[in-house]
Amino acid sequence: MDEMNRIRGYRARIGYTVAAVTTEVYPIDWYRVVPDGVSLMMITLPLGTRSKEDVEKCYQISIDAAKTMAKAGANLVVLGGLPINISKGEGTVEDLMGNLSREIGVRVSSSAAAQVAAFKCLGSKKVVTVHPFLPDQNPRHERTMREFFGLTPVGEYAGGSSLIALGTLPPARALEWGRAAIKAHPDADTIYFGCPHWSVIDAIAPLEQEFGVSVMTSLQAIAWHSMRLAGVDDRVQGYGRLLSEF
Amino acid sequence: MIRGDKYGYRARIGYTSPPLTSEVFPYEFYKVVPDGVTLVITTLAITVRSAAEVNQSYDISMKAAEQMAEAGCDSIVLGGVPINLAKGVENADRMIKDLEQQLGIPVATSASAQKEAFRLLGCRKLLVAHPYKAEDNYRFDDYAQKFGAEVLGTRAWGSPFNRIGGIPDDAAVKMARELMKEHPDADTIMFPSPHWPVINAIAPLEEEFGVTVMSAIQAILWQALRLAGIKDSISGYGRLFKDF
Repeated sequence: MDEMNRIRGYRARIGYTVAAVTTEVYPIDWYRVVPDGVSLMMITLPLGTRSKEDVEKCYQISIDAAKTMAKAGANLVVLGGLPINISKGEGTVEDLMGNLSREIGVRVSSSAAAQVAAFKCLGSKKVVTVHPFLPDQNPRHERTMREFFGLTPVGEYAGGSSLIALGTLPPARALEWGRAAIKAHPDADTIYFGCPHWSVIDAIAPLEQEFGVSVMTSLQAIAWHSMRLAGVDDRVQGYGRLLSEF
Repeated sequence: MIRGDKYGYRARIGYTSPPLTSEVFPYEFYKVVPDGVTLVITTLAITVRSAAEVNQSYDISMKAAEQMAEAGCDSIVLGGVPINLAKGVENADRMIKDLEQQLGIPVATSASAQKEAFRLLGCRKLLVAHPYKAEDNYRFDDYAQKFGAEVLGTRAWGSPFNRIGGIPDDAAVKMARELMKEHPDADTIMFPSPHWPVINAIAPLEEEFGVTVMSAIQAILWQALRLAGIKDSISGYGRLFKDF
């Protein structure tokens, strides 16, 4: 096909609900990872302080957004924000995706489902979590790892930043924090970077190489799972085992 | 070697994106801006451009601007001419000044960016190629008058608002060529709306016909960069980026 005849997302158009009022890092890292012709269709959600009310409001908006993206021509809709996905109970995600998919006529996935699939492919068992927020989020991550993912949480590393400051974190920070996390918890077989809205993508391959572990990040899992569900089977080099081997 | 500085180490540009979904804008943004400039984007509520959606989007824009300032953006552009002008032209100018004072950073709107681009480029006789249905033609006649220009001809691609991300790359060039054949005395081709693919059409059309091409995305990015202190001359996307 003539290149000029093509639409931007000529291989796949992936709809994604962004669990943040603003997004900065996600589209940059998305287009670094996916091959040409895979486009991102975004909707930002009014998730402020991650209060119960915010999460409930975002859950409903996500569903409406999925309908809008289906009408706009998305090949797949991914509901972002693990806390939003599982806010109605950890056993409800499959039903949500199935029911919504039947209603809008387009396949629906979620950040949660992508990460479940990614952990499974990587064979993860013992996971150390690195997240950019304050240590008060550690218990939430520990609980999600055990109860939702069914894996053994061996530790958490909190970067100490905030949702509003995520765009200002330099890529080197993820590498530093990942090194600190695995050194503190050398029994982990996987380093997991939660939240797809900070610069993590460059830390994946160096950490896998340096420590011989798997590295799984939210954005990597979402991009990988989205591509595979949309029929884009390219093996992508440079951003970890998940994208290059599965 | 992993960079020790943030992605937006030169400037971080805030932009409120009117359509409920955003697809083309971020892609074209990163084709144009130099390394170290990032986009901080909030999507608004427009799906069919009803009065209720426009008013709701105006309110979301104001809140988003506060969040963008708090996040450390260096400049903010409030997108959507219909949203910008929802409360009148005078209010739009006053709103920019008030927001700048409140937030302490430079603010523009899609409308103000395009008005300034028109002025600098000296646009007078326009051809308008837009992505929507022909029933929207009148809106662009109206904008052009507000920007001090005359519309000689208009082409509509015919897409519903919520499907403009699926317009092919060559739509802008095709419509512009047809218009130029009919109106060779035009001095400017205008592509309204920054949410359909136009960026690859600008330089080829300027070269082929010796006219100026002014697109909404080009004006928004140019204004946002200049307000954030990025004065780079950028080649490949028209006179506006290269000469001003």
